[in-house]
Amino acid sequence: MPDVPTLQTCPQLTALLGVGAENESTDEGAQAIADHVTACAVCMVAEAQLAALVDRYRLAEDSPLPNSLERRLLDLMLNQTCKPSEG
Amino acid sequence: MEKPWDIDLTIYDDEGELLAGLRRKDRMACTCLLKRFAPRLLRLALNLTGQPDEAEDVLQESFIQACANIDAFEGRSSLGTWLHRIVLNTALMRLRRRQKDTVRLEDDWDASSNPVPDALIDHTTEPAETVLTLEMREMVDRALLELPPLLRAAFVLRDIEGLSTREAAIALEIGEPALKVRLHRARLVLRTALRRYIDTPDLSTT
Repeated sequence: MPDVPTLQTCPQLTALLGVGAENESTDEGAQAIADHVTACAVCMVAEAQLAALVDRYRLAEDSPLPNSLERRLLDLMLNQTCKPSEG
Repeated sequence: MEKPWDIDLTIYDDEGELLAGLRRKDRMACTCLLKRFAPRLLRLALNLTGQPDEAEDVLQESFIQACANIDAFEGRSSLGTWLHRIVLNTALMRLRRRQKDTVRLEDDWDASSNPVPDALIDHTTEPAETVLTLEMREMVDRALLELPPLLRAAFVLRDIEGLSTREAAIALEIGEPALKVRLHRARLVLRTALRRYIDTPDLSTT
């Protein structure tokens, strides 16, 4: 089995990103990362796949609110902002 | 007596009629508003705050604010878009307040840690063929919650909510380079955490 980089953990990108906050605010640091991601085959594939997953996540149907939360919110909204019910 | 949560939602299918009902302070209109939009907006609030209790507070504050100020809604966007903006702003306000108090920029992160636990993953499905099931969406939710707050906010605003880099940077009161770096960090962490849900082609041939 050949030793290949894993799709999710590109060591170069990990090194570029670092852990400290020092490179957070420099244009050069951000540009170096962007350059790597657009040139590295591993990162390009992984980022495209993550983006595809996020697209599906965005379109996924949401679960209804939990009953207890829905009723609590409704009680508050109806009492604070609506006319009293008739009858 | 009819329970407000059991009403027939179709009576306000038309957004214009829903808006008119909200302006009349009609109880059914308020109920329809909540039932129609709250589930999606709860996810937004949770993704941004990372805390279920706070997300519920954001939702509550936002809907009461929206109903109370419905006359200020000018109809230049849809009701859903307007509500989305209210929730986004409310959540961001809380996030900024919290960050000033407690969150450090160098919040610990490790791209190899905190993957979604194997026990929670359904191994019976093939990732390449699987549509985004409820379970998979929950895994994405879980992975987002595992992100450090600053990384999560950058990712949610930019990659999920679709704000531009500039808009997201302004919303988080940081520079654009910092936003970009946080975004890449978040993506790298998520690449690891969600590895079972994205395709993994054989890179040995590249």
